[in-house]
Amino acid sequence: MAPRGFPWVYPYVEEGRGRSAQFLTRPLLRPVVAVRMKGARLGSQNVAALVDSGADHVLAAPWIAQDIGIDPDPNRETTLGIGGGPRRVRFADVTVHLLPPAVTVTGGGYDPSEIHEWQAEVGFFTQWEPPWSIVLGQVSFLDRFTVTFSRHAQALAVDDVSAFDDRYSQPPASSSHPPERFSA
Amino acid sequence: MAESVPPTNSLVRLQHEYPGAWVALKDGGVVEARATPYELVAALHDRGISDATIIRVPAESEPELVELG
Repeated sequence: MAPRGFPWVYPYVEEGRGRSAQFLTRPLLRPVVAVRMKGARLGSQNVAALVDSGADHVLAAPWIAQDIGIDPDPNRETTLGIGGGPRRVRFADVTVHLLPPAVTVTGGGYDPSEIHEWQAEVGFFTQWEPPWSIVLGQVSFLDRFTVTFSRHAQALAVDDVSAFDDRYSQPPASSSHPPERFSA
Repeated sequence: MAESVPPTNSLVRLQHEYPGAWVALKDGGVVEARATPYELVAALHDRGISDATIIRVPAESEPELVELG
């Protein structure tokens, strides 16, 4: 059975403001989807993943590497500046399952017939504390789908990768030729 | 440990009740909470739960996260 067709629309997740920012009355809303990774074995649970258009990579916490039974490659290690400091990451090739909007962060659930699956190069931190154990960035996520963020709607939409070209047929004004497309 | 949370995707109430904890959410409630993700995964395994969603609940004392990537 094929998963339900795109677009998949996910409501933003509300996070409380910290004590030092109580004067900010507008809600703190995060673009979050639920995913599950697969390495030597399928991850034991879903994981709340932050969609971050400013990140070039898909990144994950070290506990996930252990959970899916992989040992990230020490020969593919680099240091990234993230969260205000340098962090070592080791990359590995894994499978990612995007779960449908019906699988809310608070609701859980997992049906393997209702997922979109793809291969991803994922950087695993050697140490990681932020709430979001997975960050979905440009390479291996935003090059696989067309993702639309709307603070106005308080939601993000995940669509087929071709949706962008269907909506905007003209190349960017700054280029004289259509940009080369990366293969999905 | 079933604790109901609002039907929306909100972590606000959890931040009062589970600040800094790693929690597993399912059916609108917290089914397990632990200090580390490793302890949480082990506890869920022991209980036979395989369809929860894992997140760490940020404490109110934590600074707001920006420029993650």
